[in-house]
Amino acid sequence: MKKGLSPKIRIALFVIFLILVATLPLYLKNQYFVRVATLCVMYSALALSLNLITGFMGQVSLGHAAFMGIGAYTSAILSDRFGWSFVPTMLCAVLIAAAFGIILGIPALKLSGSYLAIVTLGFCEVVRLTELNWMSLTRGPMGMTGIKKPLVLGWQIKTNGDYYWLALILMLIIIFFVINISNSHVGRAIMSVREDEIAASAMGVNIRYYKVMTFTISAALCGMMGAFYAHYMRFIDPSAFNFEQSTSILSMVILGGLGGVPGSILGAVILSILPEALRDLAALRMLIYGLIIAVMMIFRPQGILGRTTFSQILGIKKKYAVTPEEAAALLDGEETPYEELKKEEQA
Amino acid sequence: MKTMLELKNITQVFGGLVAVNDVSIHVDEKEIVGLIGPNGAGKTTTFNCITGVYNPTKGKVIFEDRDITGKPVHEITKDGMARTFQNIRLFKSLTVLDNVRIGMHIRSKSNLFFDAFHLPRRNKAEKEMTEECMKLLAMTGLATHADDRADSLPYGAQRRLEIVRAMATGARLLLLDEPAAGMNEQETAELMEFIRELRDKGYTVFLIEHDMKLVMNLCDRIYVQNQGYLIADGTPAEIQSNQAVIDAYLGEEV
Ligand SMILES: Nc1ncnc2c1ncn2[C@@H]1O[C@H](COP(=O)(O)OP(=O)(O)OP(=O)(O)O)[C@@H](O)[C@H]1O
Ligand SMILES: [Mg+2]
Repeated sequence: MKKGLSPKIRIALFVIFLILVATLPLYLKNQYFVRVATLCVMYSALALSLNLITGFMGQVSLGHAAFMGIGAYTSAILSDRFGWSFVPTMLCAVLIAAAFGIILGIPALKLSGSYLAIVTLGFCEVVRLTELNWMSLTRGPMGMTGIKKPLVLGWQIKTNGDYYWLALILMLIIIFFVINISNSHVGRAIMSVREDEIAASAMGVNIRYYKVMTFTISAALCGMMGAFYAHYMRFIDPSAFNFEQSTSILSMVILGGLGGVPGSILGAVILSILPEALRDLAALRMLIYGLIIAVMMIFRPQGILGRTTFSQILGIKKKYAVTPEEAAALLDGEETPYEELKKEEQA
Repeated sequence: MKTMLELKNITQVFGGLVAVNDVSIHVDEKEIVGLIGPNGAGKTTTFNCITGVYNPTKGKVIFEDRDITGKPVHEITKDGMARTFQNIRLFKSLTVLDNVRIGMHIRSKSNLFFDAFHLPRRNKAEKEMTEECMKLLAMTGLATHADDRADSLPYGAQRRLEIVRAMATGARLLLLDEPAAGMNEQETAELMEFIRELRDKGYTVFLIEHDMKLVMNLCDRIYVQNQGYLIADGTPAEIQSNQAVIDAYLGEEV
């Protein structure tokens, strides 16, 4: 991966890339492309939130469309019935999705693997059927129409470009949280659950607490993007939050890389653009989609980028290993029967 | 000397099998105590009863004068004891350093809020934690390998890393399940030296081991378990000359 380039050049290239991403609506005049770019950003954010559970904690969830739906309906209803502006409806969407995250986190305490996949899938269906049948609240299959264009802290969203920037800001918020959490003691505890639950609890990690917590955070972030989705599409109906939606978010995480931030973004971008590019082959779309995932699972199960982090891509990952002399200095005169391991000794 | 750990008539039944049968053990502060016995004797199961993996069918586990029977595993670790596993259970795909930092999890001064917002308190906690972990790694000759994947280490080093990870929890009592398994003579000698130094640093050690040279040279006292029952306890010299132990376990060669 860009082995030869020095960190300085990599950072420079990265900054140029960021500028191109941030100014995209200014030079991309085709409105259709701007809308596809917005979808890429929105799905990146959704994939990142699912990655917390699937990549970092190693648990499958097919229920994430439900959190998105809960966020979308919460936000749409508050905006429609009570005339609330975007930010407060989004915060409520976050809270309510988080509450449902706790509810889904509880079965995750007892189940894992395909059993958990089935339970989360069931959750997704139950939420969708509720949305479909609770006519007085959600208008059921007719869906909710005419959701206002959002007013974000005085910034009236009007153009496709505005929506793109709003999505970008929300995605940055999610990246901020996901990177911070994964680089901290909470993140390591979450990863220890993925690696070995028995060893993790022997190290004092409260598995139940971290499982429920991770589901809650992930659901909250999905709920936030659901609120965006509702205000972006300006029309929602339960079919947008079905099992297929959950599957495509999960596919993005698997394709891009389990347990890495750049991977989720790459996976989301590829799988958001692909269906658009394959529009003419609509009948074959799911087939091609499935084929890609199957091929990945066989040849590169960790996903395209695996757990690669931004700091690794930029070549600025912090190194902790020391030289034998530095190790001796760390000991500060204390006795030890062990010499520092030599590189050659390694298996 | 003060008693640190006490097992009172522990029995663990699996279906029809009594894996641990009426076992009473005590480990005093700064002692090195051994638990030996043939394969399938119930040694690991005894450890699992102590550390909360199993809630014993009968009996009590007392740690530093508190009844910890039936407490969840992670809370027992917080109380101040930590273990290693017979079949190494490192966090394989994480780095050596991260394995130790997870060991230090319960002592972290940060929490979700400080972590999620990357606040100064998180940075300070992280820095202190990393420094302490690097020191522990240097003590076992693993500091040069801090960034490597845990499962890339040679076998003996993985066992050491498990001990370091257990020390990182801040435990005062270390339970080591066959720490020398699979080690060559030199590695075993280094391990014995290291465990002695642990005691000098104030740790109490309770270990299961099949390597008789290690057990007899290192332990202050030894318990012998056979088919769930304790059949003997005493100093290494007493155990070596105990007829029941020779018949059940040691055989002719010792
Ligand atoms: N979870 C379990 N369920 C059923 N039986 C078990 C369980 N754990 C252990 N046993 C049985 O209990 C007996 C004691 O096992 P244990 O692992 O404690 O032996 P050990 O003394 O550690 O042996 P070794 O020296 O081989 O490690 C064995 O017969 C084992 O098969
Ligand atoms: Mg055993």
